[in-house]
This record gives sequence, structure tokens and C-alpha cells, in this order.
Amino acid sequence: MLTCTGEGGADYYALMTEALHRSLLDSGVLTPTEVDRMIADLAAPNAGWGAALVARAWVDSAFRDRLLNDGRAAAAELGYTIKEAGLIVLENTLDTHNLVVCTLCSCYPRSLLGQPPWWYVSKAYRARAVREPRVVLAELGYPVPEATRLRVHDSTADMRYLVLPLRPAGTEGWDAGRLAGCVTRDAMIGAAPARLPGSD
Amino acid sequence: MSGYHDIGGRPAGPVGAHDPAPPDWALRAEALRNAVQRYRGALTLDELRRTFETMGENLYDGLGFYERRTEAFARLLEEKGLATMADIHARMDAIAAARGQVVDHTAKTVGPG
Amino acid sequence: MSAARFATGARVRILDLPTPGHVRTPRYLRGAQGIVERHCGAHRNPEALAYGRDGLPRIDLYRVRVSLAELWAGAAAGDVIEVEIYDHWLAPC
Repeated sequence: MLTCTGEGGADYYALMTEALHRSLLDSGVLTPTEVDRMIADLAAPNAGWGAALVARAWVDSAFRDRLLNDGRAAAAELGYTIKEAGLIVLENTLDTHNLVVCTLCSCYPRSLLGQPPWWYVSKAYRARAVREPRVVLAELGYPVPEATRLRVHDSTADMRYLVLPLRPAGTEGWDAGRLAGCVTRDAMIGAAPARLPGSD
Repeated sequence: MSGYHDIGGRPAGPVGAHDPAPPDWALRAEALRNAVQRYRGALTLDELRRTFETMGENLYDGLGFYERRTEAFARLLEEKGLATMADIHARMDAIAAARGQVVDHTAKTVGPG
Repeated sequence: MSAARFATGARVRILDLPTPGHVRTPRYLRGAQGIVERHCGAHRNPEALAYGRDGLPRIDLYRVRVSLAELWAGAAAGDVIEVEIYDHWLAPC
């Protein structure tokens, strides 16, 4: 039986959110300043923060080693505070490719990257990424060669995951700032390669 | 049935790189929930997960991601004594009425009055 | 604090406990064998946190690597799933 993948209720829950907002302010559970502050806090993390970690790892092998050993501590070196319990960074190599999923809900390193892509939290991805990851990767536009071994990571508990993609060819001599432009949100989940900016 | 959220390995439809940005209301809902969690210490992510894992398969299957989270957040607030669903629904009805709309709390829809 | 029960590389089996309510061990992995990929520290028990309890004492969390071919017929031979599992859901094998 196919997993039901309904996506209904948007207008209703938009209205509920308005009602919740007013209720929480009226009852004094939250203040308007607190709501504004949290909206800003959640909006700040973005793929660029993750891309900065990746790019730095590409140009600085000692940093890369520290990033792979303890992602949270290495992120802090660059000024990024990971709020989740741990960040595990997974390095793609020529013979190994990493893919991240949360089958139980939607775990994702939000304090670094912001909200996850829509497809990542979809039931179809959550159901099938652990069963037929190669087919799912092909559907996402990134088929992995047969000779490449796949590691699929189900984010079931306190850790969060960041894929360190392969550095694209044609970037010799680029500094970290320029390299960061090669790294997309999808690449840091393992669903796309890092690419030269503007290429597809 | 329990465990309807535990879907790893089940057959499902195609995955595509479809990636619409979350609507503003969804980001606001996340902010409200995070604020109650972090500033008031009144609820945890684990409790939120437990709530959407027990709100019933119909809702879980039929609603989108942020919709489920918002429904779970409201239920958890009621459990914690920080709001009531009756009051939330009444507020929704009042806001909708002022816009000439009508709410169906069973179907989870908002439509013209 | 006592030392973690399993070392990296230890062979383990993921148990199918009848725990009611909120758990973080997916059904598709129940009964699977794997090896410990790393210890991820000790964390409050989500099975208790989910009901407003403090989740103490902390429980060791491990990443376990399971062969995809053990789970599903037709999976590529070298592919693996890696998943975080709490100590009480693991047995040595």
C-alpha cells in the first residue's frame, strides 16, 4: 500500500497560526519582542553558513580533519553556534557517497542551515530513501555510479548531519569565499554534487 | 494504529526536487513553538514529536508538514495549560468571519462564507 | 560515569523491544545486525522526554552501520544504512 502523502490544510493552519499568535500574546505566554526575536533567529541560519564550512574544509585540510572529528566545535571556530547536540560531517570521496534522511520526522541541522527543503520532509523521501536510495537519487537528478558505495544516514536521535561534497574540478586556486558559491543546500544533504556556480 | 509516522522502508510515490519555500505562516508557527520551548521551557521537541505521532493517522496522512507541526503545537499547548483548542478555534472563527469566511474544523478548511 | 558498553567496531543487534509510545528506533531496523560506527556520547532518554519527564540518567547513543542488503532484497552489495540507536536497544552479537 502506498504511503499516503497528503499535503492539505494550508489555509486552515495559516489561520490557526494567527489565532495561536494572538492567544499566546494575550495570555502573556510570549511577548511581541520575543516573537520577533525568534523569527529573526530562525531566519538567520542559511545554506551559506554550511557552504562556508565546506569551502574552508576544501582549502584547509587541518580544518577539514577537525570538522570531520567534531562538526559542532569546528563550526564554532567560524562563529556558527550549533544548537543541536551534535553535528556529524560526512565526507564524500571518489568511492563513497553520503545521503541524509530522517525517516521518523524531519531532523535537519536547522541552527546551521535553516529550514530543510520541501522534498526532504516529504513522506515519499522519508519512506524510500532508506529502501531504494539509488532510485531516489536518480529521481532527484543525481544518479550515483554503481561502483560508488552509498552510505545512507537516518537521523534518528540527537545528532545532525552535513555532507561534505567533493570539490568540483576547475576550482584550482579559488579562495574559500569563491568556493562557497559551489555548494548548495541539496549538496549538503547528499542529493546533488557541488558545482561551478551557474552550471547545471 | 500507532507508529503511522514510522515510515522508513514503505512504498511511496516519486521523489522530485520540488522545493517551494515555506510560507510565512509556517515560519511564524515555527517561531512561536521555538519561543515557547526556549524562552518558557514549557515544551520539548520530543513532546512535539510524541504529539504528532498520536494525533491520528488521518491527520498525519492528510496534512502537510508544517500543518502537522502546527496542529501538534496547538494540542501540546492545551496539554500544558497554555491555551485551549476551544479558544483557538473560536479565535479562528472570529478572524475568518471578519473576512467573510467560514472555517470547517473537521475538514481543516477555510472557505467563503 | 561508566564506560560505554560497546567499542567502535563491535557487532551488535538492534532489538525489537515492545516499548509503548514514543521511541526512536525505526521498525525497518528491528532485528538487524550491524557494527558500531562510533559512540555519540550520552543523552537524555527521548522515550521519557516525550512525556515531560527528565530523561535521566543519560543513555549512551551509538551510530550503527547495517548492510542495506540485509534489510532489502536487491540492494547493492556495498551500500549501508547508518543510524543512531540508544544503548538499551542494542545487544552484543
